[in-house]
Amino acid sequence: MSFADPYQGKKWSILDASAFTENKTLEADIIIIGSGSGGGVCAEELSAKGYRVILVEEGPLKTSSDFKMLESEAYPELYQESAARLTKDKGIKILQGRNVGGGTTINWTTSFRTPPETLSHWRDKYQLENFTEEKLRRYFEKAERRVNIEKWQVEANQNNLKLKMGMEKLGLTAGVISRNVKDCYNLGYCGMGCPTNAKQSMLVTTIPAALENGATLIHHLNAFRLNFSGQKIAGLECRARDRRGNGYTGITLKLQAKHYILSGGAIGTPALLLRSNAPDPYDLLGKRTFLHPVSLSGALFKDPIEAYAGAPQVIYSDHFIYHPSQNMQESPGFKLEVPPIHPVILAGTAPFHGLKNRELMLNLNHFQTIISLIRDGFDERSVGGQVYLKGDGFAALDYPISDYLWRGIEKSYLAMAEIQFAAGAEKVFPLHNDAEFYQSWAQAKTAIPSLSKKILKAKLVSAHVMGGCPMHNSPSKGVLDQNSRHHHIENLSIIDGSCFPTSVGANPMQSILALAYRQVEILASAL
Amino acid sequence: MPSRRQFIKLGLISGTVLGTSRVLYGPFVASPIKNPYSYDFIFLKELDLKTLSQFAPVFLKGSLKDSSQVGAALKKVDHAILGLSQSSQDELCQLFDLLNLPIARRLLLGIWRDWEELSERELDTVLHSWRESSLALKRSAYLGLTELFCGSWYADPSTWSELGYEGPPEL
Ligand SMILES: Cc1cc2nc3c(=O)[nH]c(=O)nc-3n(C[C@H](O)[C@H](O)[C@H](O)COP(=O)(O)OP(=O)(O)OC[C@H]3O[C@@H](n4cnc5c(N)ncnc54)[C@H](O)[C@@H]3O)c2cc1C
Ligand code: SF4
Repeated sequence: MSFADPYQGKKWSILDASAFTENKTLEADIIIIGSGSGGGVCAEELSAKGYRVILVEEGPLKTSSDFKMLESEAYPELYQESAARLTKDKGIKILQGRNVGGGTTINWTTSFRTPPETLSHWRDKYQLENFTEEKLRRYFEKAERRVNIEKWQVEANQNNLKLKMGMEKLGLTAGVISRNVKDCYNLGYCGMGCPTNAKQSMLVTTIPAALENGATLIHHLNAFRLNFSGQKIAGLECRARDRRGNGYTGITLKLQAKHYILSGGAIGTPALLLRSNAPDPYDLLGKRTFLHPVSLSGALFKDPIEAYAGAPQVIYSDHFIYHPSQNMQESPGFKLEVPPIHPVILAGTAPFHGLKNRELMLNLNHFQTIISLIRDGFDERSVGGQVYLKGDGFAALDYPISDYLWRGIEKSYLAMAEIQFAAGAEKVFPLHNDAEFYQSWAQAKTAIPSLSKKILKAKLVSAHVMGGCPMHNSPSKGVLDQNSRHHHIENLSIIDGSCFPTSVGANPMQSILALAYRQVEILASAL
Repeated sequence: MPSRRQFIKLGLISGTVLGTSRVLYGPFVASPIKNPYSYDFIFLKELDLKTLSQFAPVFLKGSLKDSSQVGAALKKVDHAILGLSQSSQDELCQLFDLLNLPIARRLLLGIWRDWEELSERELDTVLHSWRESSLALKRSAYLGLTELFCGSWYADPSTWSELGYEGPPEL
C-alpha cells in the first residue's frame, strides 16, 4: 500500500541549508526557531494571519516516504544525538526529536490536558492566575480538534493490557489514553516516524498548513546566536548543518525579523539564550529544567507480549500521583505507562552484557515493561536541572537526582513489580544493575529497597524535557511573563516546553500545543 | 576526602596522557585505516580495533557465532558512533585511548597486562567489576560499551529471526 506523502509535488518554500554554497541574509516578519509542538502551532497561526514567517529547524526534513520503521535509521536521523543524549553525569538518557516536527514526529501520541492539580500549583506558586481549566479549555479543545485527539478505541496490545490487568487485580484504577491519530494502522512504530501519516504530528498538520500559507521552512539550520541592540533582538546568526547533521558546513545565515519566537524545546531554547548572553539579571535561565525522570521495570510473561506491535501507549494510571493514600510529603508521585520495546532499545538498555543480554533478547516476545514518570518540580526538594553549554556552545543538561527523587524511584520499582506479579508475570526485573529477575512479589518486595540509589546503577530515561525559561509575572522569579513574552527583551517570545515552571505531571505535548494556541493568539493581537 | 583528591588527580593524568595520545596516533581522519577485516572503519583506529576485538566476543557472547563475526560487530559499533554528537565522540576517543594506552590502563583501571593476554573469562570479570564499581566513570564505561556493542548488534535485520521478531510489518 502506498500513502500520500504530504510534501511530494508541492511548490512550497522549503530550503535545505546543508546544500547552501554561500552565506545569505534573509528577512521576515516573524522568525520561529524550532518546529516541534510549540513552533508548529505558531507557524500555522501566524502565517494564517498574513505574517511572513520563517521557520528554522536544525534537523532534517524527513517525511512518510522516508519512514521505514527501522531503529537503525530513525535514531540517528530523527533524534537529538542519535537518541543517546545524556545528562552531565550520564545518569539519565534524554530522548528528544531533532527533525521537522521535533518531538511530535517521533512521539508516542499520548495526549493529556494539563492536569488541574498542576494548573492550581502554577496559580498558587507562580502567579499564573490565567492558567485555569476554564480559561484554557478553549485552547485544549483547539489542540484536540487540530491534531485529532480522541480516546483510543481499539483493544490495547498485551504490553498495555498487563498494566491494566495488574491494576485491576490490585483493586486500583487504570485509564485509557487519548491519542492524536487519524486512521491509525495500530502498527506500533510511532517512535520511528509514522509511515502512514496517521499520527497527526506537526509534520503533517500545522507545518504543511503554514507552508501553504506562504511560510518558509529552512531545515538543517542551527540558530546559533541572537544579537541584541538595546532591549531588542537585532538579528539571528545561523549555521548550516552538514547533511549528516552532526557537523557544520561553514555556511552562515543572517536572519532578521520584527519578532522572534523560540521553540527549540527545553534544552535548545535556554541554550540559544545562553550562547547569546541574553539578559538574565536574576540568574534564572536554564534552571529548573525538569524531566519526568523515568524508571523502568521489566517482566517476563508466559504468554506472548510482543511489545513492539500495536499502539505503543494506551493504558495509564495516575493512582500513584494523586490518590490520597499516597504520601506525597515523603516522595514525589509518578504516573504509570508502558513503552514500546524494539530490539536495539532493549539490548542497549538492558544493564548486562554477554549471555544474560542474549537470553533477554531471546525472550523479546515475552518481555513486558512498565515505566514510572516521576512528577518532578512540585516540591522544594526537587529543583530540577540546569542547562549549560559545553566548550563548543553545544547544549547540555546537568540534572542531579536528589534523595527525595530517589525515594520516589524506589517506590516506583515496588509499585511496578507488584502490578506485574499481580498481572501474572513469571519474573520481574527492575532495570537496575543491582537487581535480579525476581521470582515472586515477596522476593521483589524484600530486595528492591536495597537497590543502590545511584546513577548508572538505576537505568533512568526521559522523553519529556520541560522548564528552564519559566513563566512568572514577576521578572525576579520568571524569564517570561504569563503570555510567554520575555521580561527583558521586547521582541522575543518563548513558546515551547521550556515555559513551564514545573514539570507538567503528564505527557507534555498537548500542554505545549494548548499553551502555544493561547500565547500566539495574545501575541498576534499585540503585534 | 581522599576519593575527591584522587579524582582530581585522575582527571589531570587522563587529560595529559590522553591529550598527547591522539596526537601520537594521528588526528581523526575519515580515510579508511589498515585493518584485518573486510570493512572500512571511519571512527575506530587501528589500536581501538585491536582492543575492542578482544571485548566483542565478551559483550556478545552467544550472539557471535565465531571469531569471523568480530569484524562485523566492530563495524556496527563504528557506524553507531558516527551518529553521536561531537562531544560524545570526543569522550569515546578518550575512553578508547584509556583502554589502549598501557600507562593509562594501569593508572586508571589497575590492569597491568595487555588485553590480548586476558582470557575471555578474565575480561568478563573486568566488565563485571566496572559494572559494580563505586566509580561512576567505570559504570558509565560499562553501560556505554554495552549499549554500543549489544544495541548496534540488533540494529541488523539478520539478527532478528532468532528473537522471533519478524521486523516491521509490510505495508
Ligand atoms: C520518543 C519520544 C516519545 C514521546 N512521547 C510522547 C507522548 O506520547 N506524548 C506526549 O505528550 N509527549 C511525548 N513526547 C514528548 C513531546 O514530544 C515533547 O515534549 C514535545 O514535542 C516538546 O515540544 P517543544 O516544542 O518543546 O520541542 P520539540 O518538539 O523538541 O521541538 C524542538 C525542535 O527545535 C529544534 N531546535 C532546537 N534547537 C534549535 C536551534 N538552535 N536551531 C534550530 N532548531 C533547533 C529541534 O531540532 C527540534 O526539532 C515524546 C518524546 C519523545 C522523544
Ligand atoms: S501506531 Fe498508528 S500512529 Fe503509530 S506509527 Fe503506526 S500507524 Fe502511525
